Amino acid sequence: MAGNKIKLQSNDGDTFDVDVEIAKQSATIKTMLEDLGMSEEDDVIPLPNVNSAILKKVIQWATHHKDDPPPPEDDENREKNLSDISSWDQDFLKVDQGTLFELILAANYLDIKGLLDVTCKTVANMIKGRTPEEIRRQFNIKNDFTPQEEEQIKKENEWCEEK
Amino acid sequence: MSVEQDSSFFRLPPEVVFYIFRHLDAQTIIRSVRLVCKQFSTLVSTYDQFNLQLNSISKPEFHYLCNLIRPKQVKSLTLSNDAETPGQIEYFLSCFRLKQYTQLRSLTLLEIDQCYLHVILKDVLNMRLEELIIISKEDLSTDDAITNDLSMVTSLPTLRKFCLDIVTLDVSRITWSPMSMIQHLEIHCQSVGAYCEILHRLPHLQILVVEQLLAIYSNNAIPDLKPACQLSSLTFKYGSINMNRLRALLLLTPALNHLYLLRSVNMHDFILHIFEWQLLVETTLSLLTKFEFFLVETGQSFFPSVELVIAPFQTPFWTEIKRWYAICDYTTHPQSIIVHSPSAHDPQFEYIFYSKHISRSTSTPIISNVPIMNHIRILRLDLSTGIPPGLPYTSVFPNIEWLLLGLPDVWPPGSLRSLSTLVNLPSVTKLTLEMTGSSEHPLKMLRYDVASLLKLAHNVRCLYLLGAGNNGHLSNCDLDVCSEIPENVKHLSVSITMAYQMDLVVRKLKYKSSINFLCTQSYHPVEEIYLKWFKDDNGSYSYRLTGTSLSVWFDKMKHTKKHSVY
Repeated sequence: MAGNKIKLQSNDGDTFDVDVEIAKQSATIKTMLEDLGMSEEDDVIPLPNVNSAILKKVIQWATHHKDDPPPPEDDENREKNLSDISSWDQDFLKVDQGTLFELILAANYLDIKGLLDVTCKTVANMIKGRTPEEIRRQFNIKNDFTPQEEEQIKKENEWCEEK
Repeated sequence: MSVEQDSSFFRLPPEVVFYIFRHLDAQTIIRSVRLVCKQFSTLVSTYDQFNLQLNSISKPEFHYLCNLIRPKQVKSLTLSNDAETPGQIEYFLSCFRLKQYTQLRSLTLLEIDQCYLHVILKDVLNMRLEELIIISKEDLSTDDAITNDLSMVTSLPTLRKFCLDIVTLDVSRITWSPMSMIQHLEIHCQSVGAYCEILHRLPHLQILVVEQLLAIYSNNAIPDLKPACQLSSLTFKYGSINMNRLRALLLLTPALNHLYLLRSVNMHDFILHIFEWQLLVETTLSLLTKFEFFLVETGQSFFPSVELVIAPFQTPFWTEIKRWYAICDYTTHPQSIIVHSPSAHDPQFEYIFYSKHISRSTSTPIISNVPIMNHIRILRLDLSTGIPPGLPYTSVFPNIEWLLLGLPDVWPPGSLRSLSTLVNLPSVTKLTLEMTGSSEHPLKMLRYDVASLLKLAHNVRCLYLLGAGNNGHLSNCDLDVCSEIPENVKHLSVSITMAYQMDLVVRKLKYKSSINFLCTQSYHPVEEIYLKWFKDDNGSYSYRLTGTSLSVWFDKMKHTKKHSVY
C-alpha cells in the first residue's frame, strides 16, 4: 500500500492517485473498499460514469472538505437552507451549467452527500424567485405546453390572484 | 408534436430532480417549476415530498396550494392560527381530514386552540409522524384530555422529534411511554423532578432543549438516577439555575458533546464558579466539544468593567484548548452586560439604540469602536432622539429581523439615510411604527417618509402601526398611510378606536392578506354585531377574536358602499 493512496480511473482512461480518506467521502468507493473486499493495493477503481475533467473537480472538492465533520443525518422533513453555501464552495461552483449538472450526476453516482447537497442547492438558488419564463431562459428549456394547456394554466392562476 | 428538450436539466434522473425540489418551497414548485414545461409538470405531479408551510400565506394562496397539491404528496405540513392566518386550522379542518395525508411525516401546529388540538391529536395517533411540533400560548393547563392525548403520542413508534412549546402545559402530567422512540425533545419544564423523569423515561433521547427550568434552591432535590449516557446535546434556555444545581444536573448527562446555556444561569454566578466549571468539563464532560452561552446581567446599579468580566474567559483553557471564545457587550439601555459565544444570540433580546455600547472579544485582537452587532435580531430605536452622525459605512446591525421605531410628530431630517446605514434594512421582516409625539394626527405628516422607509425595507412582511400613549389613538387622517403600504407587507396590525376605522383600513389597503385590529378604547368594538357588519361588507374570511383584538384572514375582497354599523 503506497502511502494510503488508491487509484481512481475515469471513463476516459485517466488515473488519479487519491488519499484513501479523501476517496472515502464517496460512499460508493467506501463500499467498494470495505464491503466488497477490494483492497487499497488493487490496481485501480474504475468509475465508468465520471469523465476525467469532472473527476478532477470532485477530487478537488473532496480534498478541500477532507476535515469536515460527517454530514448530519438527513432531515428529510424540513426545507433545506439555501443560504449556507460556503464562499469556497460558491467559488468552486462558478462553472458553466453543463459542468454543474455533470458534478451533480457524479456526486449522485459516487454518493458524496456534501457535494450533492451543495450542487443541488446551487441549482435551487438559480430557480428560486424566478418566473417560469425566467427558469426556461436560465436552463435553456423550451415551452412545450399547447395553447390549450396554457389557457388552462392561466385560468388556474386567475382565480387565486390576491388582488 | 413533441418538442425535443436539450437542456442539461433533462439528463438528471427524477430522484435527483426531486432532491433539488427538496431545497425549494411549495410555492416555487407549484407556481414556477410546474409551469416551465410538460416534463417538469409531470415530475411535480409525482413528487411526494412537499413541505407545505401554510403559515404566513394569504388565503387565496392557501386555496391554490391545497387544490394543486394532493394530500398524499405532502411530507411536511405547517398550520397556523396566529395573527397572520387567524382561523386557519379550523378552516383547514373544514376542508380536509389530517388522515388523508398518508405520507405526512412532520406536522407543525402554531397557536392552535384546545378543541382543534384534540381533534388533530386523535388523527395523529393513527399516523406515522416522525416529527410533531406544537407551539401555542393557549391555556392548556386545565385540559386532562390534551395531556392524555400527548402522553399517547409519546408512544408512537415512528416519532423521533417532539417539540412542545406550550407555556401553560404542566409537563409533570404527561406520562412518557416506555415504548417511546423520541430522540429529540423540546419542552417547557419548570421542575427538576420532571426534568429527571424525562431523562429517565426516554432511553433514546439524544437532543434535549428545556425551557424555564427552575433549579436554584437546595430543595430542588435531584434523584439518584442512572446517567443518561445517550444524550449528546442539551440546551437550557430562559431558566433559572444556579451553578451548584447545574453541576449536579450535568452529572446525569456525562456524554454531552454540545451544551448551550441561553439566559438560564446568572452571569455573576457563572463567572464566580468558572474554575470549578473548567474542572467539571475536564473531569466529567470530557466529550464536550461545543459549549455555547448567552448570559445576561441586567438591572444592577453597579456593573464591573467589561475587561473584568471577560478576563476569566481569556485563559488557555478557553482560548487555546477548547477554543470557546467569548464576547462581552455592555449597553446602557437596557443597562446590561452580556457575555456570549460568537455563534449565540437570544432571539428575544431587544436592543435599544442609542445605548452607550462597549464590546470586547477574546477572539479578535483589535477592538472596534463601532462593533458589528451580528447577534442582535430585535432593535428598538426612537427617531425623536436622533441618530448620531459619523456612523460607519457598513451596517452596525446586519441581522435585524424586527425593527421597532418610535416616530415623533416630524420626521427628523436625514434620519432615513442614517437609519439605512445603521441597519441592514432589507433584513427586516417585521416593522413596528409607534407614535411618540403629541399631535392629534401623528402619522398624517409622516405618510411619505413612511412610504420611503417601506421602499428601503422591502422585505417587511409584518407591519405594526401603533398610536401614541396609553390610548394608542390613530385618527382617520393617520390611517391614510395604509394606502402607501406595498405588496410585500402581508400582515398589518393597526390600532383603532372606533369600529368604522376597520372599514377605513380595509379600503385604503391595496394588498392584504391579514389584518389585526388592536382595540384601544375601554369598550371593544369587535363584538359579534360588528363582525356581522364586517362580514357583510367584506365577504368570506376567517377570523380570530380575543378580548382586545380582531384578526382577520382575508379571502378575495369585496367592497360595498353601505355602512350598517357605526
